[in-house]
Amino acid sequence: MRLVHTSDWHVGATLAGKERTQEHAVFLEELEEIVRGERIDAVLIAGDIFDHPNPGADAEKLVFDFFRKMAEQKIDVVFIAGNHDSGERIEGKARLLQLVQIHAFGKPARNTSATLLTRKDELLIIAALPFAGELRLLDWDQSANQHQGEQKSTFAERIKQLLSLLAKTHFKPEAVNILMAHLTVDGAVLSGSEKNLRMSDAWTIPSPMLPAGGDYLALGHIHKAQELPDAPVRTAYSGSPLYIDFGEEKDQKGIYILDAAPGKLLQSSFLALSRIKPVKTIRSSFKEFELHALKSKDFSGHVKAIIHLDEEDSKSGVAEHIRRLLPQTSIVLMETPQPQQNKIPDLSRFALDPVQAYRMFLESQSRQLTEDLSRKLQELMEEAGRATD
Amino acid sequence: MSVGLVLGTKEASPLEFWVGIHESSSLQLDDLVTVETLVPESGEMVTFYGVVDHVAKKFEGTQFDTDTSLAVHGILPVTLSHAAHVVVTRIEPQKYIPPHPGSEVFRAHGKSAERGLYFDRMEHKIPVGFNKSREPFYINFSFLNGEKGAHVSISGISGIATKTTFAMFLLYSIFRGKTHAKEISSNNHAIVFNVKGEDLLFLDQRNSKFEEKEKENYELLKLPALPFDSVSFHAPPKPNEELVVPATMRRTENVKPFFWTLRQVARERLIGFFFEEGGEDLGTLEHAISVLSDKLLTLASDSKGDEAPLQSPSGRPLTSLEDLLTDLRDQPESWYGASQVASQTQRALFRRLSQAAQQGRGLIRPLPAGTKAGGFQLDWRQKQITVIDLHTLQSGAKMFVVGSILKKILEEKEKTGSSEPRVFVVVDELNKYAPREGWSPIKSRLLDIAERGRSLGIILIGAQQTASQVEARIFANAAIKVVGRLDPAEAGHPEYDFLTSTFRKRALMLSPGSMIISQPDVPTPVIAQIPYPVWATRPEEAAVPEDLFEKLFP
Repeated sequence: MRLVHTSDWHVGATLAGKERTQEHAVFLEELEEIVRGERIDAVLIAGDIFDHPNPGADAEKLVFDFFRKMAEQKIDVVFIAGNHDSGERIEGKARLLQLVQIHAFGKPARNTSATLLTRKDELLIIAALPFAGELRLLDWDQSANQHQGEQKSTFAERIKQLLSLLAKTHFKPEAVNILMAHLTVDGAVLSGSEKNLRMSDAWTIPSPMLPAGGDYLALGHIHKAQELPDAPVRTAYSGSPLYIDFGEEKDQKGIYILDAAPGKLLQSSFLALSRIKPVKTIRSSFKEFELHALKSKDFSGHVKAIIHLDEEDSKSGVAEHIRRLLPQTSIVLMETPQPQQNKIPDLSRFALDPVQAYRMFLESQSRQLTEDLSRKLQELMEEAGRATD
Repeated sequence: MSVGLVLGTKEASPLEFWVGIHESSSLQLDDLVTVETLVPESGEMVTFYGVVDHVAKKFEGTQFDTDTSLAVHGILPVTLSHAAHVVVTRIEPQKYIPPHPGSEVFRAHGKSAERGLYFDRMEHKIPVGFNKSREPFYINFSFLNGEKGAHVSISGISGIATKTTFAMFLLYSIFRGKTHAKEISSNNHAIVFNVKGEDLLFLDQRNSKFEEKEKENYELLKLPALPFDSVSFHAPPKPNEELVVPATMRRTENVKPFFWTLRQVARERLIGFFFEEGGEDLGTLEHAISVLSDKLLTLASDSKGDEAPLQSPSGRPLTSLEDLLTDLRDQPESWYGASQVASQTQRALFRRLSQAAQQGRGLIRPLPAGTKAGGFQLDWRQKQITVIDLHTLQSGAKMFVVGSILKKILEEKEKTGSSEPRVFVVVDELNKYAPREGWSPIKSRLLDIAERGRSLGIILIGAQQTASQVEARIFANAAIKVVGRLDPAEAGHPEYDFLTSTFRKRALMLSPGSMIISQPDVPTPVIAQIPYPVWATRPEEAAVPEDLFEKLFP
C-alpha cells in the first residue's frame, strides 16, 4: 500500500496580514495530483490542518473540497487535531466525515483509531493521539508541589503511556500499524536553527520513550521535515508543506510517501513540493538594498526585508521605497542604531519562570524588580490561575 | 508407599547410601527422601533425611554393549538396576549409625521435607523459591541479617544466571514475606545500584508478562503477588542542562536527581574517589590526594551554608570541578603549599582529576536557586528500597558514586553503633569494585563491610560473573552463596569448592531462574527455582494503567 504523511497545513494562515489561501489552493492541487499519480491508498494528516480553531470560510472550503475529491476517488483520509485546530470542532464533524471515509480525531480517547482495508485488501491500522497539552496531562494538585523538572518528567511519562496503550489496544500483527501524534520529541530540530529542542526548553518526550511497536510513527507539530534516527520505530515529522514563517527559509518542504505491506519493512521517501512559494529574508542597509533587489527580482516567493538605517536616514517612505524596488516584499522591518539597553533579551529560556523573565525584561529596560512589582505579579498570576479553573 | 530399599550391595554409611528403586517408582535428582532404622541397643528409631544427588539405571548381567539390543529383543535375560545415591542431610536423633540395608526409603513431603533441610530449626525463614516437588525452599534469616552470619554472594553468567532477579526476589521475600514477623520488614532497608540499562527502574510497576497462573507459586510461598511498594529511584542529573533533570531515558517520572555540591565533596572528603580507576597503586599520588583532600576540608569548614560556593585559598568562588581544576592550575602553591608534593605529581593529579571531571559532568554542581542540599541527597531510610541508577555514568564516575555512598553508610552506622535499622547493599559487578588484585578505597570499604558489616547492620549482597576475580575475603565472608549458570572455565576455580562435583556439573546446565543455594544450616547445596517476578524487570514489561484515557479525558 502507498500512503501520504503530511501535517501542519495551517490553512487560513496569513503572512504579514495577507491571506495565503491561494497558496494553499496551489498546494492542495499539487497534493491531489501526487495522490493520483502515486496511486495513494490513504492520506495521513498529523494535525494543524487549520491555522485557527475557528477557521474562515475560504479556508474551510478549500480543505473540504480536498476531502471531497479524496472521497470521490475512495481514498481514505485520517487526520487529528493539532494545537492550532479546535479539537471540539473536529469531533463535531467527525461522524459525518466518517460516512465518506474521512476519519477525524479531535480529542484523545482510547478508541481513536481507524482500521482500513486498501484496494489490495491489505489491512492498515492507524492509532492516533490528537494534541494533548500539559494542562490536561498533569494533575495540577499534585504538580503544584513539584519543580519544573519533575513536572516535565511526568508529562513525558504520560505521553509514553498513552501512546503505548494505543499501540497495545489497536495494533494487529497482520496489519500495517501506524501511530500518529501531534507533539514535540526531544532532539528534533527546529526550523531556522541548528539547535535541538532540549527537554528543559519545552514540554517534550525523549525519543527512547516512544513505544517500540508498529511500523511507523507519523508526527506533526514541527514545521521542518525530518526523520528522527534515534527513535525505536521509523519516525518522521512531515513538516509544513508551505513556508509558514520566514524562519523556515532553509527547510525543504514536501510530504513523505510511505510504501508498506503487512509483515514487510516500511519504506519512506520524502517528496519535495514544486509549486509552493519560498521565503527569503534580506538584511541590508538602506543604500545597498537596490543591489539585493536586483538579484532577487525574479524571486517567486515572499521576502522579509530588514533594513538597517544609519543616523541620517529618515524612516518615512522607506517601506514604500523598498516595496517599489522589490514588490515581493511583504514585511519591512527597520533597525535604527539605538542604545543597546532597550533591546529586549531572549527570554524564552525563562518560559516556565515568569518572575525571572519579568525581572530580566525590566533589567533590560534599566529598571528593577521591586518588592511591590513582584507582589503585584504574583497576585496577577494567582488571579489568572483561578480564572482558568 | 516406599520408593525403594536401602541397597546392601554398596556401602551404606551415616553420610551417604544407595537406594534400589522399585520398578514402579522413580526418583529424581534433588528429591528428598527419608529412611528409618532401629538402633539395636536402645530400641529407638533413628530417621535419616537425605537428598538424591545421583540416579542411574543399568542392565545387570551384561558384559558387552551389543547385549542391550539382545536384551530388548528378549534374547538375553537381563535385570534392570535402578539406583539412586543419597547424601544424608540430617539424622534425628543424632546417632551417626548407618541405615540398615533393605530398609524402606520414602519420599519426604511437607513436614519431613522441612525437617530434612532444617527449615524447622530456622526461627525466621525467608522463602526464596521451590524445589522440584514444588515445596518451598527457605533461607535462614539469621544467616542473612548478621545474627549468626551475613552477606550473600551470587555468581553466574550475565543474562542467563538471573543474578539480579534473585537478589531482588530475596529482597521481595524479606520485605513482603508473611512467614516472619512484621519487625523484619519495617527494620530493614536496601540500596540497589543499577548498572545495566534501566531495568531496575520499574520495580514498582506490575510485570505485564506475569500470568495469572504464576500467582499460585506466590501463594505457596506465602507471598503477595504485587510489585514493590516502597521504592525510590535516583539518577545523576543530565549533564549540560540548566534544570536539574534525571539522566534516564525510559523512565523519568518519580526519578529523583542526585548530586553533590563541591562544598559537600570537600566536607565529606570524597575527592579521593575520583582516583579509583585503573586499580594500580597510586604511589606518590596518594599523598598528593590526601593533601588536596585536607585542604578542601579546611576550606569547607568556614561555617557557610550549603548554597555558598567554596572559597579557594586565593578567595575565588568554586562551585564545580572545573572551577577547582582552574584554580589548581593557576594557583598550585596555594593548594599544595609546604606539603612537598613534587610538581610532577601535581601535574599527574591534575590530569587524573581532569579526566574525572569529564566523566563526572553534572555530578558535582551548585544548588539551583531556592533549593536545599537535602533535596538532592540520598536517604536510604526514606523507603524500603532505594535504587540508584548509574548506568549512564562512565566507570570512573560510577566508582565515585559507589565509593561516596558506601563511605557515607559506613560512617553513619559507625556513629550510631547499632545494627538496626539494617541496610542490604546490592552491588553488581563486584569483581570491578573489589577485584582480587590491587587496593582501592572502594575495595577497602567493601572489605570492611564484609568483615565488620554484621555488627554494623550493613549486609552485602554481591553479584559477579567470576567469583574467582573477586577479593577472596569478601567471597569467603558470604554466609549464603548462590550460583546460577556458570561458565565451564569459571566453574573449575577453587572458589566453587563448596559445590560438590555433581553440582559443579549441574551449574553448567542451569536454566534461567534456577539457582544452586548453599547455606550454613544445610549440609548440601540445593537447587531452587525462583518464581516469575511479579514486578517489571525491564522497561518493556512495565504495565500501563488500562484506564488512563478515561482518567485524563473523561
